[in-house]
Amino acid sequence: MVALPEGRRLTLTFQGVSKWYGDTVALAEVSFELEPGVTGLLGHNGAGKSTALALCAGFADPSTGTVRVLGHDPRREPEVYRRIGIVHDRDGLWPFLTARELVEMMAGLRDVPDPPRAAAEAIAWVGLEDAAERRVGGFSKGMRQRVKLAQALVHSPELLLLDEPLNGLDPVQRRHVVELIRRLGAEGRTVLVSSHVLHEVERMAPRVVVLVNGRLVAEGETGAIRDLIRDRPRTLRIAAGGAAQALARELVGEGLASGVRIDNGALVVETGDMDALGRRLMPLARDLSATVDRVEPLGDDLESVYTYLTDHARGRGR
Amino acid sequence: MNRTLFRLAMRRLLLRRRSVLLALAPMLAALVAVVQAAGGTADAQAFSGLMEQLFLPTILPFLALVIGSSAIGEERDDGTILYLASTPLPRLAIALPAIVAAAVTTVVLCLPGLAIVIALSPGDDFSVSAAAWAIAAVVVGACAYAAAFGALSLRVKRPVVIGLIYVLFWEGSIATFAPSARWLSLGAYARAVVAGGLPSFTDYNVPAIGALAAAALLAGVAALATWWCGRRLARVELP
Repeated sequence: MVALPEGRRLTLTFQGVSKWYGDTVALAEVSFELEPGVTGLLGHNGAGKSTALALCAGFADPSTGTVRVLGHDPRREPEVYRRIGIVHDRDGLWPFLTARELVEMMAGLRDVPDPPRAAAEAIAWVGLEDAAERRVGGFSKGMRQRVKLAQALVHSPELLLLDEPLNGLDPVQRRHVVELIRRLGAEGRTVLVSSHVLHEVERMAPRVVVLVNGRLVAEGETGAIRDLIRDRPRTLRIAAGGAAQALARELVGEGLASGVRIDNGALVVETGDMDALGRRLMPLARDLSATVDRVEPLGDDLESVYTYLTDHARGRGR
Repeated sequence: MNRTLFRLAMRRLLLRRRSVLLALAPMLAALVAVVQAAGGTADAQAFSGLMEQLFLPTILPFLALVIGSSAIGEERDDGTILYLASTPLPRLAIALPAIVAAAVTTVVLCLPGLAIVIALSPGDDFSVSAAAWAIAAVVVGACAYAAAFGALSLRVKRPVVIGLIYVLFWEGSIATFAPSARWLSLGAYARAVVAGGLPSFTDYNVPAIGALAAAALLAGVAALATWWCGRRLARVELP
């Protein structure tokens, strides 16, 4: 059992965990701890989120390091699964079972006292009552996702490990599931939910762990990570007519741009202060009789965001 | 044994279109028995020949291979094993119902064909005892094969290919002319069980072992392979 500081209740500890498959490093020296509440596990595809969740779920052994879930090693102590709910990323379900049969069966296997009642409640939580008696083989991706969530909730677990639980859901279902996850966190359960979409995580998790290429590059309050991402240096392509070169000089002169180059008649501007640039760009252009036809961000995809976080983490000496 | 998991495995293995096709294989033996009966050549010797040369060396292992290798391997491949693995059940309690269901499914699919073969085998030498030993051979053979192929599915990526190589090349070829190889052939022990009920059964491929001992050995193989499946499930990394 992990010794806890006064007042802290660690429900999951991931200590110096590395995982490699042959020459491929899936996770490298990752450490984090979870307390009750919702934590987002953020990272691009292939960042190591599913590997981290599989290790937490006891489906794999770490190559180095230790994983403790509610003070136990689920690989060696399967009794702890009475207290853990898992939504994994695989899509397979027994196609001949109805949603009710499947959720009820999982309740029974986890020793829930009244499986039919628990299954009915879990199915209602995910809003699947109307399809409860239908076979899951005919379900859409979104419905399957909700069945997976219902079976993870049916035994009222203390810890939930959810791998991309919003995948395949329509906007209404997403809102419903986001609200459900927030409620689970507010009830004092520990929820680790993975996603590659920051704004999605932001809506349900006050805390986030960010993985890039198997390394932990940021950890903390979701708002702080969002600010870090928002305030990162950005590159914009500004299609400006008229006095474009004068506009470039002014942008550098006023400290709005750290560098400007001309590319096919457009300005490619690097800035560390998007807000100020946004406020001053049009007035400056007007003063210089330049026209701004189009402004587009460059390198604003997720990979760039995560690369920035990696560089930022390295800068901090990680 | 966990009855919920047994029912789940039975539904998964038996209630599918593939089962209808698999059930046709034992009917091949029934068809031969019908032809023999129509030609007036059906007797105990013909029955033993049918069991020795078709039912036990080909039909039984083929069915057990397809069904046994999908008992756990299929759940691992489609990811449903992850749901079972996230329960407090010991891993042996997950493996055992799957293996038992595979053996039961194999027997259920074999029985109609076997029943026809038995029914069409009259003669002075043929008795209820012979029929009982034949059924026993199919039951313990199915248990041993299903467990062995179930274990194989947790060890290799293409269990059906490896299983076919074992059945065709080892049991069907090498073990038929190399006496020492018979001792490592599940099919040879199954034939030894059939021989227990048929004094006239003169199969030179049967190891020098009594029917009861052969049945016990096959049951032992089934138990060992099932135990290994549970151990493997506890150690293997799930996808």
